[in-house]
Amino acid sequence: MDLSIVTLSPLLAAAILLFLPQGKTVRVFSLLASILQFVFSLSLLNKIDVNSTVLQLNEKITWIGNFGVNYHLGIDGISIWLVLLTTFLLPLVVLGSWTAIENRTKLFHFSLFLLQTSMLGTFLSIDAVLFYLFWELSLVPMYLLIGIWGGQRRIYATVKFFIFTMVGSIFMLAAIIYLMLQTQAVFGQMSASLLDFYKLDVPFIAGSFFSMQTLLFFAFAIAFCIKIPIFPFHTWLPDAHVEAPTPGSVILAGVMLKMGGYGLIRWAIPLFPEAANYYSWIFVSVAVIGIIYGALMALVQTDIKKLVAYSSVSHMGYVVLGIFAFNIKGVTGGLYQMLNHGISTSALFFLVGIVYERTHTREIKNYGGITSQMPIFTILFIIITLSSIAAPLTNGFVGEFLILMGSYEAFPVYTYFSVTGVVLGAAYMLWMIKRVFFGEQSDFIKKHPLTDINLREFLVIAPFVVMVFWMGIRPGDFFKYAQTSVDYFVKNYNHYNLLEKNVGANK
Amino acid sequence: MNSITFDLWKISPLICLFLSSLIPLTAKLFRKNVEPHTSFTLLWSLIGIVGAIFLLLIFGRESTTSFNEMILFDNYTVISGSIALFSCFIAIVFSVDSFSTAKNQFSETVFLILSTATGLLFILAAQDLLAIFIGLEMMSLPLYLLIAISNEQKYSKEAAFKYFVLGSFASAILLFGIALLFGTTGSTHLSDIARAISEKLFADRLFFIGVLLIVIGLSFKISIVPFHAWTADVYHGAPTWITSYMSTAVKAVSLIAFVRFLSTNLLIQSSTLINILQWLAVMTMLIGSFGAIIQTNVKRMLAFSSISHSGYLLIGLICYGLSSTDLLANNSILFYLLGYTITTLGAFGLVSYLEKNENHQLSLQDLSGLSEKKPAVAIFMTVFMLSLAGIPPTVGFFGKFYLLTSALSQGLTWLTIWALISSAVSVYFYLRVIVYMYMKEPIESLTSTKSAVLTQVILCFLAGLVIVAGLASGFIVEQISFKF
Repeated sequence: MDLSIVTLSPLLAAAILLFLPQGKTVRVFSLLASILQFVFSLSLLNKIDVNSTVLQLNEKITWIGNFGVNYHLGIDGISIWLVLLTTFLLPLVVLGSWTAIENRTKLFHFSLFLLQTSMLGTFLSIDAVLFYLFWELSLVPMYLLIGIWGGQRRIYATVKFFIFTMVGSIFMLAAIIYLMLQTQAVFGQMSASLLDFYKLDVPFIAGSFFSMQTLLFFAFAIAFCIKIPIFPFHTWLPDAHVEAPTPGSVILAGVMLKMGGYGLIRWAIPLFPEAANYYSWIFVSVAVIGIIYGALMALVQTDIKKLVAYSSVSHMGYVVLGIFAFNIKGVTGGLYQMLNHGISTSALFFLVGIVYERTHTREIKNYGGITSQMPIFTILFIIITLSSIAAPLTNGFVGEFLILMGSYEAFPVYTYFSVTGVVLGAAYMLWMIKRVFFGEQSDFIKKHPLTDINLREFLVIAPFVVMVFWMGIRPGDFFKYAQTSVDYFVKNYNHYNLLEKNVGANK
Repeated sequence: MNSITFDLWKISPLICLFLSSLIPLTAKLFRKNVEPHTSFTLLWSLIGIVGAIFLLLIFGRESTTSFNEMILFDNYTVISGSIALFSCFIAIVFSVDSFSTAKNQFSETVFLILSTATGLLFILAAQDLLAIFIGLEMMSLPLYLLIAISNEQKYSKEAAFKYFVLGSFASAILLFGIALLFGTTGSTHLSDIARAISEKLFADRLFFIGVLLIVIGLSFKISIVPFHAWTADVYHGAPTWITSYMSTAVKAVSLIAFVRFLSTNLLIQSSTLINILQWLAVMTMLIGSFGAIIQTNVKRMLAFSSISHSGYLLIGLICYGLSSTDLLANNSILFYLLGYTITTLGAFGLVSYLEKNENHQLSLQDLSGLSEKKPAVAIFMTVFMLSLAGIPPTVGFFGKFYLLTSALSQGLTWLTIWALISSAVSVYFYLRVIVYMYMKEPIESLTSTKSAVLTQVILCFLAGLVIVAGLASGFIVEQISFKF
């Protein structure tokens, strides 16, 4: 029941929302509901067995009997942190949008909760059809978030976002159907369970692009790569981020991009290991291109939010680099970097949103020397920036260092190139800090004096700062949950197989 | 029970429909041409339809033939008959809230629409090409009248005339095809044709031309490209509630006629025919999708969307033709029809609800800011659009999912990929409706302000059904295939 409660409780909250009056009641209710959900989801940490690689807390209800489709949720060390990241962000998003979203609050929070259910469902589904259902469902509320509360070119951005992701995932659907038909051919009974898919041996012919495994692998991988997004499929991301309202950007960067990375680890690679291995050079090279290209693009941006968006492209490149290293350091680093990115980029978007609410401009040239007016804000911004550029003692360092170590073992040449991303990352972030916070006060700021952040805004940012240092100084607290599963994944991804076990039988 | 009473019992759904359609008309006759109360007429139409569905369920289960094997009530008849009658009733309810018909010719309208429904059931049960032809005519003739029935609407006469002329051509072509088939196989009965079909027969040009002519005649009714040219104009010109009926029940039933025709295992014998049908399907899906992108009128957009859905249905049809006993192929056609019917009824019903009057050309602009003026209606429309676009968890997604599973299991990989490309294209224009409703500033009230409680209730019901039928698709499919 635990996983269903976590996944479906936002849906219940959304249903209750419909009967509340617009305005403050909706906000208070959403905040309480999301905090409650987060607290409950923390209890999952106690309920799972960290030393086991089996799929835990399984819930299985027959859904479409003829097709072997089940409502099947399960959790393990790989998905637990992404689930907690998702539940961690929602209360902060609700709190962060307290004053930013003024109109149609009910629809806004309704979309947030619907999004929450679909993202959690994506991380927890073990059934392919259920996974696809949640994956696609997540598009609709995000589409509304960007399109209704977004900026000037919001409609262009949101339609682009929707169509890009939809086109990518539509071929994944064909691949899922093919795998289901294969289970029928092999086991005599159609099944949509991931665990049964793992047992399939899809033929692979090295060098032939039209061998079945290669085609299926790319059908899955392209869907995930568009979501991550990997160069050259990244073009929707800067548009979506720039036009999205702050809460939309936070969820998009914080969780939705991770759905792609998670999909690679859970679905694409273990299902089609030979193809993933054989074609890993494609992914590694586009990841490296993405790292450098994203950083260079960030360097020339004049809009703070667009700068952060391009830094996302660069950071998510590291995630892919780590995952395709296929060693423990790389995959652990990739997984950790997903969390780091979820923390630091979300916080950056919040911080940008905070100044934007005051000035209604994101142009770097309009700012300058705002430190004297917003000292606390500056300190927080710099801490988060340090996390984003992977300074030691912050979480970013741990993730990036592990990824680079892992990828150096696997492919040193690519790593040489990708390290330049670290330098460039420091360059664009620090240069931006210099231009926005220090130096001469710009005319614009002189005309519009700023107030420092208030308590509510501080409460939104503080948890991120805590997490930055906690994850940077004591990564072991986090690794211990994922370690067993990652070890198992790296050693066995060639013939991956998850057992399902209930926690009751386990303890 | 001797054979004639048995036969009459078998066709009792048709009789029930026909008799109940006469009652309001007769009542009007005896009351000196004064229109009976709307609720009276509505009640009788409901009784007729519910009675017919009930009788269908009783007598359709046994799958026995009657009238010298001309008529067969089987699973297809029962399920698609129920779907068609359901959409018939919903269309009648929509018509109550629209303008001209409710005034002084409601009983005639109900008589005509129930007559087409009688024709529908006749087609569904027909086992002989001639019976199919008669059924098609029984269905089409009242339909021509219904399209023209509106006094106010400028385009309805034009639409009716266009449909009538082109429909007559299509019927003639169909009939000529039947004649050629009779000439080459010696029978018009489907089972006789099935027995006669062999590869040698396909070498006979005359036979092949006959088959093609029948395919053309039926394609016209389902609006398969390139026989689709009438669709947008007629759907646009007809009163919207009639459009909702035409695009669901009429299309569904013509499709089942096609299913019957393919049950003769034509496709297994001829790869040429498979290729022709595949390309027809691809063209239909793509032209439907691309055609809808350039429309600004909501009704025309939905008309093109309905063309593109005909293409998907044709995929199901090909799967059925390749293996008529495959459970998956059978179920996927019926489930897709069900989902398509619910969703399209809802979408056209919404258009009819929002129109100010019968001449109002509801454009996308008119939908601007609908979510603020009428939030509930906007949510319904969103649900319908997502379902038409095939986004989970709506019934449209599951329909497409079953259909594509069926196509891939028959090895129709390329067709599946074309279908996916087309549905990716179609997402654009379905989303555009949501863009206008949610993301544009509201403009001066261009939409209707009428209350139309009955329509609202129906729309709410249909929107709920889209989600519920989607999530309960497994259960529904089991129920459908239970009666095989």
